[in-house]
Amino acid sequence: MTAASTSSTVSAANTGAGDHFGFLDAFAKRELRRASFKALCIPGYQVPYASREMPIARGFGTGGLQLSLSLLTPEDTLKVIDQGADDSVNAVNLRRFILATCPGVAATTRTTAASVIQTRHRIPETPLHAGQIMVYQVPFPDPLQIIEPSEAKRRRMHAEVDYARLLVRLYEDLVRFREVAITNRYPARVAGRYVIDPSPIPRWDLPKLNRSHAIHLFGAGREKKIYAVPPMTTVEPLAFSDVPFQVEAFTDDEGGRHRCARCGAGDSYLDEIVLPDGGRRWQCNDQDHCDSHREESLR
Amino acid sequence: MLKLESLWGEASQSRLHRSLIAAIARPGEVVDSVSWLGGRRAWLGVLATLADGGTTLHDLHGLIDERDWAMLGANRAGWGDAAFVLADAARAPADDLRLDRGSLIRPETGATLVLDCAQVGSGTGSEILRGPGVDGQRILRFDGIDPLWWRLREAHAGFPQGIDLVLCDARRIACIPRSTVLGGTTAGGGGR
Repeated sequence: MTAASTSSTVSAANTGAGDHFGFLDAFAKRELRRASFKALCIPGYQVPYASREMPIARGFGTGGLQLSLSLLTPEDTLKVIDQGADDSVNAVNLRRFILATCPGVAATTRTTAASVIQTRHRIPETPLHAGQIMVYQVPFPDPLQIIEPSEAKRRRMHAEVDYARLLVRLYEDLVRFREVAITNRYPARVAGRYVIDPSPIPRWDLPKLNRSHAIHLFGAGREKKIYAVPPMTTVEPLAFSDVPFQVEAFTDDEGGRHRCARCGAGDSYLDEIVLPDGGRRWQCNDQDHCDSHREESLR
Repeated sequence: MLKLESLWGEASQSRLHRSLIAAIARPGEVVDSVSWLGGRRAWLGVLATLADGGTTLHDLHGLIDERDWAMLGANRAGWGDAAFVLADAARAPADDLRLDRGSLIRPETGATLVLDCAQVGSGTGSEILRGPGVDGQRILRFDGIDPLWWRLREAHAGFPQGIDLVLCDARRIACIPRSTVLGGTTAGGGGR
């Protein structure tokens, strides 16, 4: 065998040679797959991985993008949302990039039709089903980051289930504001062990993680961490026995609940929109939910 | 020109990965991957999907031939250090077999034990699974697993430390991650 042929044989070794799908090289994908696998084995634990350079800047969803690219197959239907919208700049660009590098993958805005949903800051209002995988873009994966700057110390705290200072932080909020003032990234305990940062989803979305039918994978590209919540796994927001966790109420001046001005829904997470005349308007944050609800009400 | 079997291509490996994700996320759920194995046994599909030059592998019972070693490209390591350990489930593990169970600081280094079984998803042996990924409980049936493998798993247990099991037969895969609690067996050969 010549030196050249030896070299070609070696370079063919498990490189996924012969076809290219999903932008990342086979070694990068395999590392992401190993990290995702271990993340599902240890629910809530942040598995380190070598985050790759992507054609978008870190902080714009590279962790979620890498996870999606490692997961997708040509049979998949993809939905990408940013703050509940399918047509925001971040979502549109990520979707366009994925579709360009993953031939065969279909795109949808319908939550129910998607097999993989990449998201920034929201979980869809429509209940997820068992065939779906949620991929989260995560800016800060560690809930302890707000109280401990050293990663080495934070790793030890997670290892020792030492979340006392996090509870103190919640207590300080209660003392100062009479309520926990964390509006998003609310810390939650997974399967009774690790506390996670569920990415900047609002408190409204946190109960949807609890015993969800879907697989939830969290990718932090800049921080080089992947963690997961398997299906049918308990996810409990940190709270005190006498001060239960609460979601946003969206109450109006009369004590009733604001409804979506577009579709009339009274059961969704709402955006408050300030009008030019100084008035206020409330509208569903989840675009697909709003569209579906509107279509149903017009029928 | 070097012609690769379909198993080594990205098209097969991406589908096998999705099968694995489904299996590890829902412990005890059996996934059939025959369409992507190219006639090879499922354990090779698992290793082809997860292992490469960036990780270590130990072949306890010599199941991997030299050609497949070359294709995998994984680094050989002793069983105590390897990230992946492959074994014939019908053969009892040695008394002194100790795999890497990770540490409290780095639990993800705990080994993945890939067992080549006679049958997964059917058979006379069974285990009851509970824990994350399982709604209540799930019964996993199998055949051809020496009972000492379950004892080995117990000996390494202590969440978040532990080892993760991938059970494979000719075409099917089921996983038992360290987070799963095995809650006794039903009657039948091969179970505990």
